[in-house]
Amino acid sequence: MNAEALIGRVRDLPPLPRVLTEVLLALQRDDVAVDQLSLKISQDEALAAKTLRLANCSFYGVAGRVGSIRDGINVLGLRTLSAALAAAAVAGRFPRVHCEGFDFDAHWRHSIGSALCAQAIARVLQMDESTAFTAALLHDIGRLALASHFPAEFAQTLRYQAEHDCLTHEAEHAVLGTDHCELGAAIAEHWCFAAPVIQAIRQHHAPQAQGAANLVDVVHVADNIAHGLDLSGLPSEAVPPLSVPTWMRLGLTAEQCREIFERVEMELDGLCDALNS
Amino acid sequence: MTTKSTDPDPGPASGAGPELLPPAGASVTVRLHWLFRHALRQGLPHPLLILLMQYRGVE
Repeated sequence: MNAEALIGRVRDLPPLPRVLTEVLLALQRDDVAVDQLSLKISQDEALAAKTLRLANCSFYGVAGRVGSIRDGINVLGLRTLSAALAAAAVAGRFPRVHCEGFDFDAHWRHSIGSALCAQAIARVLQMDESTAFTAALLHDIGRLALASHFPAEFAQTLRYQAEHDCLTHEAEHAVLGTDHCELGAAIAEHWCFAAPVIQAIRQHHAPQAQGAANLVDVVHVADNIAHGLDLSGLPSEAVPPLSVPTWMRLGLTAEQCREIFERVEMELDGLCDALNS
Repeated sequence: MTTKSTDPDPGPASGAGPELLPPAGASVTVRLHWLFRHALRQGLPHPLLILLMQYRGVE
């Protein structure tokens, strides 16, 4: 199977559920009414349950006290709800099939850890926290798609990576002729995610060398931190090369980094439970 | 949560290089060098390694 065939197969993925698409589109508008949104979410049992579970997650500080969708939306905030539901939608599209060498739980721990890192970095830099959270949560969606929909091919990639102790995207290029960044961006385009999110997925291993700090930079550094904190727990874990110009552009101090490390490690387990349940 | 290292293992100073050290059961220092092995192998700067060494209490 070549790169074009892989990307073509990705574009055959079924669309997101209609209710979810409507909710995500509504959440992109500034004038969205909470009552209207609440009604839409209530129409889908899975979305309603996910909204309540997240709102009651200890991460948001109101554990067990949110009983209605409307209250849930108020607790989470519209943008956080958007990010969380996008995550739920994506998770539901990729069944956990057997893929030798791939650990779905470890994948999600890394993705959720990256999302927390990106959110914390965005907060420090006064950028949009929810978009950073969403982009980082989805940055490795291409790996998830490969493991779930092309398990034999991806297992071959993982074997190559182990044998050569090389980076993930290097192994993917060697075996598949493309990488999870391109595949992930194709999926995000197929599902109509916002352009900055698509760009961050595509470029998270190759941020631009110049310009002002942007979402790609945040996701690149967040991914590095999540690997460096060893959040996935995989024996073969490795930190990819860091773009030093990107690191310099973000300008994080040692103290800010320490606070980000602590916050992510403190919040990870609770959020993993809420998003995976 | 910061993990302070009490492991007397001196880390990757064995001369073998971090990429040849087994990660299972390794000390905090060795594990960190293992995580950053690709950058270390290529001599690439990685500011995060120093910060994480400090954070894990193994500066």
